[in-house]
Amino acid sequence: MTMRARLFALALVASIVVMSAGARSAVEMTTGIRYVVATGTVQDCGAKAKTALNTFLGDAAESPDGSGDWSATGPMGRGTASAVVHCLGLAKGYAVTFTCAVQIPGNLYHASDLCLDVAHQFSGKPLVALATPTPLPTGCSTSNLVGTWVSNDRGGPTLQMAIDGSLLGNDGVSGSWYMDGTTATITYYGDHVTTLSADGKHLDGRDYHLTRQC
Amino acid sequence: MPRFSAAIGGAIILGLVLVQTPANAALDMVAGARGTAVNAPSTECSTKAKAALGSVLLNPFEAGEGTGQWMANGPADSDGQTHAAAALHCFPVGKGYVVTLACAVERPNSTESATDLCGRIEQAFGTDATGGVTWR
Repeated sequence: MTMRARLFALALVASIVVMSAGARSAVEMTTGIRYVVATGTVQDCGAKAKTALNTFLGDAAESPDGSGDWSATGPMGRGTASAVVHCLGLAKGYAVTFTCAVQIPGNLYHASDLCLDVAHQFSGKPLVALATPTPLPTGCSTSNLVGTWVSNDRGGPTLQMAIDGSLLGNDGVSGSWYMDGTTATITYYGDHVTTLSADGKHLDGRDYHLTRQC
Repeated sequence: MPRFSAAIGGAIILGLVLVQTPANAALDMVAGARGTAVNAPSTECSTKAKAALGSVLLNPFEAGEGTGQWMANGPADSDGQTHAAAALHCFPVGKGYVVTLACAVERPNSTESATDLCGRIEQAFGTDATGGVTWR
């Protein structure tokens, strides 16, 4: 084996070890408060569950329909937190349980914080504000993709990327974006992995080559 | 010398590509099926919940003694991180009980989906044939 080949192998192993260590994250789960409500139906419970979940997460849905099992994931474009609300019909009233999970690191609050707020929103009790990201800088930032991105390829899309991780194409189709280091995943007609340039102005991947108007 | 630099640079880029997938890890959480036992004490639910979680995940525990809310996490990886967790809620109803299930995994660090994890816990808890519990 030549010296060059040895160096290549050594650097490859070292880079995988270093970068894999940084990429590790974990699931944190908790169960929340359980309420027994003496009056009301499972449908009442479901309506409250949907509202409570959508207050902190997004796209709350009952699955299967009529089951009383509600779940939601958020924040939009990140998907690092989820919660499940179970509504159980009783002879008089209903019972409701809360289960929450977050991905750490990556999420700004613990699963217990989320579950407490979802339960309190459900029951109308005071809420404790969940941590939110520091306002992102604008311009050619390397920490976000906020702005207008124009395709370098003829006929390619122009994408408006917003601070909440959503995006809107010039054809009216919406999607989302997510960053992890310099790797940016663009969800727009499928997932597209791209790399943000050091000046924050260019996104390049297999499918898209975009330039930010900044 | 430039050749050595190129070798190191190429290796680092290849390393980046190889570890890209874990960097894009995502949370997958589902509400599992709901089990009903028409004629059984709620203490039985807790016993079965602990056993089922313990057989599929690790170290099941009750989130507050007597709450009937049982949780467990998956095995830790070499960094001490767990990528799977589940919770079972036991609730007495009539002369029996209802048990609900929620599962969460982090993909692709977990090779199993949350739905599959919940399915295994459900089977371990017991079915109509093996334990008088009907799941829907």
